[in-house]
Amino acid sequence: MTQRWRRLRILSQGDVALAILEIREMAKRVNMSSGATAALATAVSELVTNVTKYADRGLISMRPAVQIRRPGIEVIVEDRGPGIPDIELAMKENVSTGGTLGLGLPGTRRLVDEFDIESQPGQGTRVRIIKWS
Amino acid sequence: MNYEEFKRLYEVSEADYENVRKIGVKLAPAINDFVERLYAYMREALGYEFEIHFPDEASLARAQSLSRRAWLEFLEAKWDETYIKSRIRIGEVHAQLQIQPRHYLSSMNKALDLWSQLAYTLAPNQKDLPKLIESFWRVGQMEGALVVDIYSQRTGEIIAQQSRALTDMSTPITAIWDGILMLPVVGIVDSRRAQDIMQRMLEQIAEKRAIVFILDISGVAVVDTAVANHLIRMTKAARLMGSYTIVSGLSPSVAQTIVELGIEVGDMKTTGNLQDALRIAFDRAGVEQTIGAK
Repeated sequence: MTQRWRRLRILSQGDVALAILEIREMAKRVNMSSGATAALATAVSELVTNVTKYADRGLISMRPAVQIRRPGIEVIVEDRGPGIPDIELAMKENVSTGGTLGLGLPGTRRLVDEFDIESQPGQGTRVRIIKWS
Repeated sequence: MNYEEFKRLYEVSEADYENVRKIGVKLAPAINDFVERLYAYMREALGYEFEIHFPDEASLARAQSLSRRAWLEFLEAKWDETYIKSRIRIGEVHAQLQIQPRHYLSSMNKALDLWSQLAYTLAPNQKDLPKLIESFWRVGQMEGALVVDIYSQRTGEIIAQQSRALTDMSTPITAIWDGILMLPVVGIVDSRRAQDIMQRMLEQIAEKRAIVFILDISGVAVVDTAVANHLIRMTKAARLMGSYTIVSGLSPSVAQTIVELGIEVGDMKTTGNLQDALRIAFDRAGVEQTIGAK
């Protein structure tokens, strides 16, 4: 049975906090370990912060992922912002156009088990992650 | 606020104003009758809410006199500075009294209804009367939107004020010993809050001449690159002021997350728990430890 998506709007910085609370709640519901929960919540924080920083507004969707006897959560964060011109470059360490550490995207990839990113300049960015407990 | 946008949204034209003015001249003499009937409706429809908003005769009289003036302005249909200012004032009053938008809007609806009825009684032979009344409603409904917009803006400002007050309360920097300050950070740290914490931290370091500053983050929900970046910056700024910062309370999962993220913490001093941080702080501040010292 596929689980329903829980979707939240990302409009302001305050929504980062809401997304984190929501993902922790879901992690608790699916019995995710505390280590995996911390990693997932941090990944979500990174991605949602990116939306507020670069795109202004977007959407986050989350749902329990299904795999035999292993709880997990799938998350999609998308926006229609300026997009990333060079994804390969953005996935490198210490590359940032926002004046910050430049570890967000590569770090996020290491924190989760699955990581896909699609981005077209001028069209927006869509990141899909899955974390298994 | 872009007032022209309201005109565009409600498709209000100069002709509409002209129409309101035309019928307004006929309606103005009935203002007292109108206000009386409007407030009779509100008393009936709002029930207990009405009593709360107008607890005594004086407050009721004040509101009625404001209404009277506002409606006379409306009947003059001048979209000028005075008019806009007075609509802003109406929105502010509604926000202050916390009148529910549904109560304001339903009363607005009733008001337009009353005026329509009065128009048919007072000017039955007016040329194009249905058209004039149509314009009357259009402008009236636009005004409703304008007031509700201001209302929600003011409510937003009130919420922002409250959250600022909450932020102030959530940075309880305490002097736990001579030269040692401590701040437990709890919850979610966003950029604004981090900025706030940093500022208060540096102010307190200067004021209390702190040698050591302990930042306990065991209650922080998520340490991502942004939060880590803020912590590093706080530590650096404190060091420039001659104060040594210890970040305490890194749980195993937070420590692991920081490593996975690839964050270079540099020479930032961190500890797993507060006790270790205190021990280091006492050493630095030259406090002799007799209790629990190894």
